[in-house]
Amino acid sequence: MSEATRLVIFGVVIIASILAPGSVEAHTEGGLAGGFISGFTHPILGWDHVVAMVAVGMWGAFLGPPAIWLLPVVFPLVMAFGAALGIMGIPIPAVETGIAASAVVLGLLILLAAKLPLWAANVIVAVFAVFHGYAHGVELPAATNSFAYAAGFVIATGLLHLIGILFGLLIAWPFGAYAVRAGGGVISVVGLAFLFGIV
Amino acid sequence: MACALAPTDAAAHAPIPGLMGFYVGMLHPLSTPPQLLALLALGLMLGQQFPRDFLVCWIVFAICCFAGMVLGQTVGMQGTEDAWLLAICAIAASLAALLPNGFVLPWLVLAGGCGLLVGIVSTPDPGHWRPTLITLAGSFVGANLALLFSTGGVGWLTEHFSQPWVRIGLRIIAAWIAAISFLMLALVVSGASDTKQISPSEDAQSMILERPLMRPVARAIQAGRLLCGRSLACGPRRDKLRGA
Repeated sequence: MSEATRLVIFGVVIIASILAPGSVEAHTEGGLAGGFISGFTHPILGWDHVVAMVAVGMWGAFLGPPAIWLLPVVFPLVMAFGAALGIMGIPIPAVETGIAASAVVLGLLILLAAKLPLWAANVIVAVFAVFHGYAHGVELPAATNSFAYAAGFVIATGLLHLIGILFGLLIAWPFGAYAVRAGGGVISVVGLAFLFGIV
Repeated sequence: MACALAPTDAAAHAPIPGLMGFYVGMLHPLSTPPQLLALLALGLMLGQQFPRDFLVCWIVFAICCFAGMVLGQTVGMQGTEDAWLLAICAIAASLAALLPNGFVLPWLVLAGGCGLLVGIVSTPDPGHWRPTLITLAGSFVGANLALLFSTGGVGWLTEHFSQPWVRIGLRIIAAWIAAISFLMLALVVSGASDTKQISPSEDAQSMILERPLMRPVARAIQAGRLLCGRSLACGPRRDKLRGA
């Protein structure tokens, strides 16, 4: 069996699995599972959040150690602080602008291959994390289980960083550096689209 | 062989009097997220430098846990223990994530505070002194075992695996635990329970104002509103929320 045939069979199996008829679920499960799913999907379903969190991971990988792991440590900590502000109703100005600006700025920093000092990188990421966390806090739905919601929310954020880090690790190869910088450019453009309300 | 196979009465649960109460007490520190998270956070904080200063921190934890049980029996629970446990958890996990080398003084304070609160919340419902004592003994053993296992587990990992990603992974887990604690703390402070609609409204502030221990938070909210003005926070997301 040739390689191409194997790939076709693999693709057909994957597509068939996705399209296979399953039971209809009008609502998510309640309790622990519902809370976790609700929290897990919250950061993933907002594209403005997704691009910014992936950008944090990519920029961390671009900066190298210790930023590669320190930025994903700082981001969830400060994001949770921002979420707490949102939950308690403490106002913060220009939240939407801050979220869109985070994608623009982080994307540009990756595009320009900016190697800022570690403290400056941490401050930039922390400031933007407050806006992202605040938006999540304000939008917090009636989660069935707060612990499961919070766990799902934080783990999803961490996994988005991980995706960014894995993509950012491509800089080890010459073509990879261009790919990562191009990815930063795309993130910046997406951020601009959100900033001007195009999407 | 005949003795082993001889038919006897079936016993689905422990036939020893009091053992069930001890067992229930032992599992109690693992039964609620605030206690579980706090013990995990302490383990991550102390375990990364294990065995440095662990013994003294553990002794402080055990003494405070005992004191908390006595307090719980005499004074009773105040209703804010979960919030304080989550606050301790958030601080301990943040220290584990950001300052893994740490300092012994904050470790002692956090271990003592965690022990005291775990002891207070382990107080069983009022009843006869004997089952109460057995349940409390179970809780004491359970809390101390949980701390030993979490610290020892983290210590074992750092000692047996010298790869840098192990310590990085532990710090990232600590950051996640801190973030979860912060979120849960905000939910507890804002008065939003698991079954309640969570929305950042004026109701949240009034709930906080009703609690004497939360007055500094309420003052901070008022100061924030005076500084920024409510209208500044009204983006599309909040409008959407209000519309719903």
